[in-house]
Amino acid sequence: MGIAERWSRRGGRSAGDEALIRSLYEEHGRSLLAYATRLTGDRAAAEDVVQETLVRAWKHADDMVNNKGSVRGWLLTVARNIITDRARARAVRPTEVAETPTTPPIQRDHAQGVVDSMAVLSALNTLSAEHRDVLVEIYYRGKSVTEAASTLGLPPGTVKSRSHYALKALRTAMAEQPAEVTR
Amino acid sequence: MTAPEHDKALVGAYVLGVLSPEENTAAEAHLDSCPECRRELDELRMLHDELGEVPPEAFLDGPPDGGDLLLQRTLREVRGISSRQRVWGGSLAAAGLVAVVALSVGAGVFVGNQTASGPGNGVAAPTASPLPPGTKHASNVDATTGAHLAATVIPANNGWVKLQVQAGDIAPGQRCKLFVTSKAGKQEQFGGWLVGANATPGKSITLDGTALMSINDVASVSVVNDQGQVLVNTPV
Repeated sequence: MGIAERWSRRGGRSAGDEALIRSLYEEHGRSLLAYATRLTGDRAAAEDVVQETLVRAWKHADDMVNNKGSVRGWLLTVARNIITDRARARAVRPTEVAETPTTPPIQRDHAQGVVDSMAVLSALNTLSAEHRDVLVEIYYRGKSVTEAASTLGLPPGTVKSRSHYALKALRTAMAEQPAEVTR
Repeated sequence: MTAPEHDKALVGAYVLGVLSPEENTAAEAHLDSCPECRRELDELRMLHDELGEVPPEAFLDGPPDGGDLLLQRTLREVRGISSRQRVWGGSLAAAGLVAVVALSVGAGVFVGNQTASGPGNGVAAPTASPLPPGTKHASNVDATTGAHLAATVIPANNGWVKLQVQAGDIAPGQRCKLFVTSKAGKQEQFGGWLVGANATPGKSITLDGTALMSINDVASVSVVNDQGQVLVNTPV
């Protein structure tokens, strides 16, 4: 967060702008590109999405920094919105030739799921590193207790108890978190 | 909830599915007899489901694999927008008219046959069928470049618009892009062309396009060259 605050100043940009883009790319590029690649199924399209995401981040640095969730969550949300908007734009084109009342309405409600997921992500970020790491290994990386224990350098019994407390800590974090998360 | 006998059940670990079969059996036995832990089980199960909403990619760190071409491309775009902002001045930039021109010019170019459709500085692009209600017309001549632009914005179903424009008196040889800008500053390219080297003053080109933007959100239509200079902009 500290980094990003410096960008929220407008004026005297250029050098700082590039540094902002660079730091976002270095820190979040892999995550964004992997996410966009999975959703689009196309590396080239995913790169375009990442590029647009970073440009938006640069243009809306204040928004990104003031977002109640994490910078990572903001970026992933923007990337997902871009992908959804593009898919929708593609879906809409054919209505130009077949514009009838039976044309199904375009889905407009993808935002809610994203908000929820980013709320969970920012709650995860408030956990201690120990708690967060064990959840990431077990849940998101699908590791077995043995594998997670070896990755984290812990006895298997500790992985089990720690995952238990981590989930409880996450529940507390979710409860304390402000409900409003910027798109 | 912190009492040792409850913690033995390790409800969180049970929900996460990391207990051994023996531990599972013990946890289930405790859950059977303990309403408090069953309530916790329900809550943690819900939370467990919410965890699934977070993309696993959210936990990757560092730059993408495969070099920094993507970074360089992004930096070039940002530099382009920055210089355009200087050209356009504060008000347009503040309105967010600067925007994503990620597409290279290749996308919408068709080679400059500036067709003779009159010095179209009035209503744009007549169409065969009557235009639907809500259709908006706008036109403008840029005092600096002399370029003129007439735009007809036609509402379509599902929150998008069709655009018909006539543009002319643009200096020959320029690569032009057509943009529609929303009130919120979102900008979409909906066409582009290359002005022929022998373009005749007073003649116009007519182009159609579509944009995913509600007609009520449309703020302006503009022609921008590949240097990012706005050749003509007309508020709608």
